[in-house]
Amino acid sequence: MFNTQAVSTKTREAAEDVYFGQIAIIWARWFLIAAGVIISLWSGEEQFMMGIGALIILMTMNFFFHMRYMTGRPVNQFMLLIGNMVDLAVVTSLVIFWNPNQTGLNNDFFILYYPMLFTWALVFPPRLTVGFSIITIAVYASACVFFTNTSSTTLLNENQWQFLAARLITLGAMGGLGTFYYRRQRDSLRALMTTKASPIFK
Amino acid sequence: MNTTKPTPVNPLAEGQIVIIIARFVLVAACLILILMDARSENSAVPFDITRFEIMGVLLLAVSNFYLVSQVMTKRKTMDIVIYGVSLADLAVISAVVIAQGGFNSGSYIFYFPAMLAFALAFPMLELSIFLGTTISVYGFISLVSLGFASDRPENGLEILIVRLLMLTAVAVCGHHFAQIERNRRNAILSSQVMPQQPVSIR
Repeated sequence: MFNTQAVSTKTREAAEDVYFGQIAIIWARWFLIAAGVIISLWSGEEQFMMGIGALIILMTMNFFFHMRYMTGRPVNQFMLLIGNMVDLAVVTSLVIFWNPNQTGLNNDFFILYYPMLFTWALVFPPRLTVGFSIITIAVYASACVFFTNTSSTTLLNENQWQFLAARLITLGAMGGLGTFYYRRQRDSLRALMTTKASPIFK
Repeated sequence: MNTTKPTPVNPLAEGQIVIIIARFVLVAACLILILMDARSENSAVPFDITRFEIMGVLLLAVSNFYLVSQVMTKRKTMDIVIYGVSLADLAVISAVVIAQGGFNSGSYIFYFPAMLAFALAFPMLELSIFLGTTISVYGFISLVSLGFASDRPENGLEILIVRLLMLTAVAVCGHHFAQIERNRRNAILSSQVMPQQPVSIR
């Protein structure tokens, strides 16, 4: 039998998680923008223009999200998803195109993925988090395998595979630990709600 | 039916399990990478350093088993012990970073899962101290190694600032989110009705 009450409770919980938690995603994006400003300040003219373009997109989006949050009308899950996809695209572009001498694995800006993946895992249900983490890890791994400057004939040498493995493990850990905390919080909140609803507690 | 009256949330006790899992991730990832590196024919790390790295990681694992046993037997771990082992995590990561050449070492990424766990588990003051210490120590190690390195990248300082900024982002966003979750639960504990706005987001 289809349990409508359970479904509506889950939907309500998910909506509350997005409502309360999205400020973490918004703040993570402000940090991403701050990093973008630092990167752009140090860059050449052509890179600077590219960087400013990406910054304007991110800032406009984040102002919109933050204003909606502050006025008590936060954006929904779908818009947050779009926002995170834009973040993913911007960071991956930085990793691949920013510096022709440091592409793919040699580029250090992969660390911009970490707060993004972490805050996503804190706010969204495990199923969505696993999906987004796999997409992020796959995109970064592809960027490293296909866009790294390498002198050898193979895609990556032995040391580079080790570097890549370490980065992918820690990226996965950010998503995994975030979603673990999320699940514990949900269980704890549910247990509290049950206790409060019980006649003995009253 | 649960008839126990809930008590207000203790962040450190609640976040202890996140610290434990983050440490297991750290131990497993470090061991895999050290052993992969040791087996590699063109490994640049001398065997003495490998031996030192493995001993450090095994010490972390042993101390983590103690924390796990405390949780499994439902005994309260003293706060000072949790802070002590967390400091040991940072010390081991920093030692590995120094052993691998400071700024050029890729092992700094292990600071991220560690900081994630601290952000979710520690109160504000303790988190600030840990974050400040991490940033100061890693910043100092990197600046010194950048000063002495003959093959330092042209944008080394920029990369260092971005690394430190992202570490701060993980700490700030994680702590902010944990605070929101505690407030939600404390609101239930103090018999307040959950706000109704969340279900009306569009």
